[in-house]
Amino acid sequence: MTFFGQAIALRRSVARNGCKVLVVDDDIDSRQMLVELLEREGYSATGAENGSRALASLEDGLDPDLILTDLQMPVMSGWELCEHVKLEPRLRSIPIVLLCGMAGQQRGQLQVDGVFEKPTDTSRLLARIAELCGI
Amino acid sequence: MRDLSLGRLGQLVLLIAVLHWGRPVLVPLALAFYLAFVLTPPSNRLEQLGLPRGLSVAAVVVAVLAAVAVLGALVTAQVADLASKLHAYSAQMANKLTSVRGGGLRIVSDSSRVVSELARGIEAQLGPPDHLTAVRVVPGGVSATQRLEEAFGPVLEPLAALLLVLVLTIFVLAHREDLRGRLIVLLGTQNVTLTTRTMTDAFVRVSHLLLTQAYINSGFGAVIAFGLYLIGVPYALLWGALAGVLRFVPLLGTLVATLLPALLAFVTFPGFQQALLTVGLFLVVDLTLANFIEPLVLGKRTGVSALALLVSAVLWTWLWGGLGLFLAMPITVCAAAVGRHVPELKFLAVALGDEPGLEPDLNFYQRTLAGAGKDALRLLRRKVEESSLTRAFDDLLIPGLRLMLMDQNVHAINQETAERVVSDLDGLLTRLLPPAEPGPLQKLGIVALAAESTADALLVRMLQTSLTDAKTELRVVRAGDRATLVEQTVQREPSRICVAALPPLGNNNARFLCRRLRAALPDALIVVLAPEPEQHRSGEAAARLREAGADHVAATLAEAVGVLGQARERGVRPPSAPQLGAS
Repeated sequence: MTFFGQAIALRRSVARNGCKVLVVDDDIDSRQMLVELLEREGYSATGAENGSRALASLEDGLDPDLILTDLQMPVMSGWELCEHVKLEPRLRSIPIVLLCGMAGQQRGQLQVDGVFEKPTDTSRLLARIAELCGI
Repeated sequence: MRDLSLGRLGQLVLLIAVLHWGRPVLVPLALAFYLAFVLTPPSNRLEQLGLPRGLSVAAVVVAVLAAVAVLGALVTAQVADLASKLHAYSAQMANKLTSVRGGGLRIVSDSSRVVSELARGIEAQLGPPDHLTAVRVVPGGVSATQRLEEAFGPVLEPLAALLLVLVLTIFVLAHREDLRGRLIVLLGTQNVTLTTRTMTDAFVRVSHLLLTQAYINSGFGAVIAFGLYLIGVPYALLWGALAGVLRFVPLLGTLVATLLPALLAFVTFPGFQQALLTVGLFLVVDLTLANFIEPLVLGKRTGVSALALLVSAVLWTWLWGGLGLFLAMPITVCAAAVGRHVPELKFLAVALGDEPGLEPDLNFYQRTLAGAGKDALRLLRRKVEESSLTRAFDDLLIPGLRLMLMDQNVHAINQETAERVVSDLDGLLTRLLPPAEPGPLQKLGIVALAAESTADALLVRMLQTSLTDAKTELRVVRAGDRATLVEQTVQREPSRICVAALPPLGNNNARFLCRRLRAALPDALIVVLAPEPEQHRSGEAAARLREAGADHVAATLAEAVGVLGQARERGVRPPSAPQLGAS
């Protein structure tokens, strides 16, 4: 990243007030892209390759302001991750935004705070993340 | 206390058996350790004055022996004299009882028989009176060894035991540090350095306690002897020495020590005046020592519960007889002190100590969880009386809430129970403070809101109660979702905002609220009340809250009340304003 790029990121970081986002996606390219996008916007982003890894990070003390997750993943899917988070008193207030590769109606009865279909409109996604983080 | 499994029960039975059957060896050993404990402080003092270890030990032991020998000689002379006059006292007692029997004092009439029996017993020990000549039939075939054994046997046995105690005491005193080190290693602790330090501290404190107790009891004996001498009771020195020794016996010692001189005073003097004076003397001196001198010199507690002392006295008397009764208190104090400092033996401190089994906050939560509202309210009221309303919330109610959240987090209690506990705690708050007109309140524009749960809402209620107690008004915002909470808070145009959020559950919402409120009200003072015990404060959660816009993160209710209540110019943020930077 260039000096100017770093300066912009720093300013955005101040603007984002230290918001942390946990990105959960088994597709490494997609996950990497989302992490970079969020970091460019001033968020602190952490990636996890499936629901199980994400849950392990949360149990280790990671306290994100928002979870951005794919639905279909190996080991533990986005559905299972959502169920676990909403059942855990310590975690249930963390907003969850879903990214799904299929039609929205197949996401079932999950209590989530946002659903975006892939390919995602990043400006809408970022606006929703900012809103849920209180920015 | 650990589970009393069959194995542990077996160990306990084995220990009791060893203590019982090992009495001839263990009693001198325990006496020697007790004496070593008592004599360590004077020996240390002599060493500090420049005397080598051997000389200091010898000086202390010789001084004690000399004192015991002088006192022993005087007391023995008085015992012998008393024994020779027991018949006369017995007759006097009979006469006196005959004269008072008409007055209805039948209760004490049996005492005459007791004294007669006592006289016969002592005569049997000391031999017949001087005017009678004893005739003994000695069989012709008795060897010289048997004769020697017969003549000196009764004296030799206690003398040998005494010598053994003396030698052991000298040995323990001379090698005390070495023995202490070996004991620590034997206890098998993980952290030897720390344990050595704490055990040394425990040894020093127990040593001082036992020495001071010995001084106090000796002083008790001296005052009693002097008092009885003034009253005119015969053998005052004997009764004083007996009182000093018997005072080591927990609870009953002084009572027994009072009976004999009071009985003698009753027999010796006409009327009841001297007997009553004797009882009064014991009462006054003992109560003065127990209520004024001992708390002053020993502190409020010896660290052992009264029940433990009583049980211990019964147990050691059963195991070791009279000496066990004498040693019960020192052994119990030592066991409780060791239990307090060695984690492996903590059960001793719990079983014998005078501290409550549960920490106050845990006790409070346990009573609330069990639905024992009256007990919880009593604990809360006592805490308010001891400290203050805010301190009681900080020390009992908030830890109770935290424990409830922790239990809920690990699914030890379900949602329904958690809600019931919060509701009960809320009810306790109402019962603690019946509704009353608070009077004029200072309006500082403070608004409070709960970050997430009903527990946070209860926290807000505690804050409101504490601020009302401090004559400051607090307005509370209640809404369904966090966006509405922000909206309604902003509408009130507060100058100071308190977001109540019990960690870790409320952290996420608290950060959201701080960001929104900071954006909408840039000049307002935002305080997050996130109570956490000192050992759990990582600093990261507080730093993130400050990054989100909080001016101050209060770890206690008292801190929040202090920050919100202090005077502040509008628009001037306090020095602990957020240090924005990279996350």
